[in-house]
Amino acid sequence: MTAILETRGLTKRFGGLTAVDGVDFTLPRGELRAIIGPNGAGKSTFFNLVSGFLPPTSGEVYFEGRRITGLPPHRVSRLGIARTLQVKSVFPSLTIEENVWVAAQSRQRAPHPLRPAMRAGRLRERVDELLELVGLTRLARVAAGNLAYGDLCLLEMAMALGTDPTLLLLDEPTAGMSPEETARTAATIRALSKRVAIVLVEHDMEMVLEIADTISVFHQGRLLAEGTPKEITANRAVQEAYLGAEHAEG
Amino acid sequence: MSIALRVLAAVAVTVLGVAPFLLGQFETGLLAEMMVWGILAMGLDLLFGYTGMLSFGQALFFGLGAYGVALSFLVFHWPFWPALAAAVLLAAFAAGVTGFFAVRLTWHYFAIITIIFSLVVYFFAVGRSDLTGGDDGVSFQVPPMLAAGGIELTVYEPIVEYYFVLLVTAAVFLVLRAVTRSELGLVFRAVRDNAEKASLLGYDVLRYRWISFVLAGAFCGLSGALFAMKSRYASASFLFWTVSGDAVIWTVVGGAGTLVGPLLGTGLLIGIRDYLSNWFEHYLLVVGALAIVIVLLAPQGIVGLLRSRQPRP
Repeated sequence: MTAILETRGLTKRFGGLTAVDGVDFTLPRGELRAIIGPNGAGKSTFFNLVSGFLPPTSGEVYFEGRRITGLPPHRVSRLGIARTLQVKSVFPSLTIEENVWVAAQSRQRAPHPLRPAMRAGRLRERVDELLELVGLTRLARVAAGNLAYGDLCLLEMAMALGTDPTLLLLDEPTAGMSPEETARTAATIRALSKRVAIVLVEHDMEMVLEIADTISVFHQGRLLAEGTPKEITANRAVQEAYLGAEHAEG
Repeated sequence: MSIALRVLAAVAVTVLGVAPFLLGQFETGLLAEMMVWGILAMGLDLLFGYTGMLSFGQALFFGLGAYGVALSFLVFHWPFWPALAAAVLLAAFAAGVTGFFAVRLTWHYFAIITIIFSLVVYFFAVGRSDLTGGDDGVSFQVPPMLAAGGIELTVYEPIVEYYFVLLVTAAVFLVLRAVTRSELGLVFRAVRDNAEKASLLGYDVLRYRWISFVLAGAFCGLSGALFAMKSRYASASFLFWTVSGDAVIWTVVGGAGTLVGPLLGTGLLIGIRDYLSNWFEHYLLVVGALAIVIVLLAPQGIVGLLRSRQPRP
């Protein structure tokens, strides 16, 4: 069976800096994978390469066995990879339900120039279902620009799911959240992972160790280690990279 | 929409419907002119208010619409409707070509390239005055829009002209309203709000910007075609950037992204221009001051001001 996501020798250089350095990454089906690593380890750049925001300097990206290297973001999205951004990103002047509708509608052939948006029907039911899932039904008519931070993250999740992805890339989904919000989001992610493959970049080690099936550790653009949470915590190279990084930061 | 706004809209539509019987010929003609320019502003609103692209070059499509009918009549001797269709298609085609390049840029870069495109065509039109009449322009006869069984409808009949313009303006308003509320319209607004997110959801942002640009170009072309038919005249000055600038001011004053706002803003500012200029030479100072006050006090324009006073549903 082919992997959901595979990269071979994936490399990105910015001038003299090698942000991602020859990464061979394989994600089997049905796995919840966390990517961790110190700041500047290349995690976000790795996401940018996979989702088409940046073209790689060299190397390849395969999604469900198909080569997607260098495709623009909207093409990557249409193949079934959804991504949330580190800085929360929605359509502020549209209502919550319109935001989700835009996401769900994106899987149709082309948006109709005269048929009204938000009309009753299959798509409308799908939107309501997604709002229900993330618990935003009561805020459906509120402009997204007026949402509280935690609700924004939930809206982003609903929008990502609206595109019917087979792979979900979550970039620091709990950054800036309170412990309660983090716990709630972690539970949602765990539940989602039964339906879609998920890769998440996360700084909250406690949460990562709790919910991830497997962990990939990035360090200076390279894949330093890979394994179950248990294996990773016991890994000496990982401990050194983290301790070293913390010393450098402190 | 609140009851007060509904009543206001009903009154406005009724007044426009019976205006020729209430007003003199000059005022009726002025009202028709306001509506024609209003179509230009609504076209710009689709692009600016709904898709987030501030164009300072809509005069290009307005002018091409005007020359589209002028040259159809003068050079090809086409009847009324084919000339009108040709003018709109010419503007849409020009928008398709220039838009291909322009939509790759955003904000001031986009605004600048739209000015450049319109200036290039303006200077071309001035240079080819054998064809275009340059700034002096060309005059022409407008054939009847309908001639059958002894009945002839022509724009030379003020009342026919008025109702023709009214019907076209109403149709443009209804079509644009449907478009802005459609699935496509929602994508336009999404692209305006956050282009990066739209692309993450699978939308080809450049493609939707281009579609909006072409649609706006077609409606601005229609406005130019109607204006030329109304004046029986087209001139290179229709392509000049001041025409684009007027459309931007009317749209912003009325309320960008509201469709009815630009229509209102156009009527208001043309009214001020026509009446004020009779006794105050520097009437543009008043227009400028009014525009600044509205932008500062009501960033959503007049319509935004009216709506914000109503409780939200």
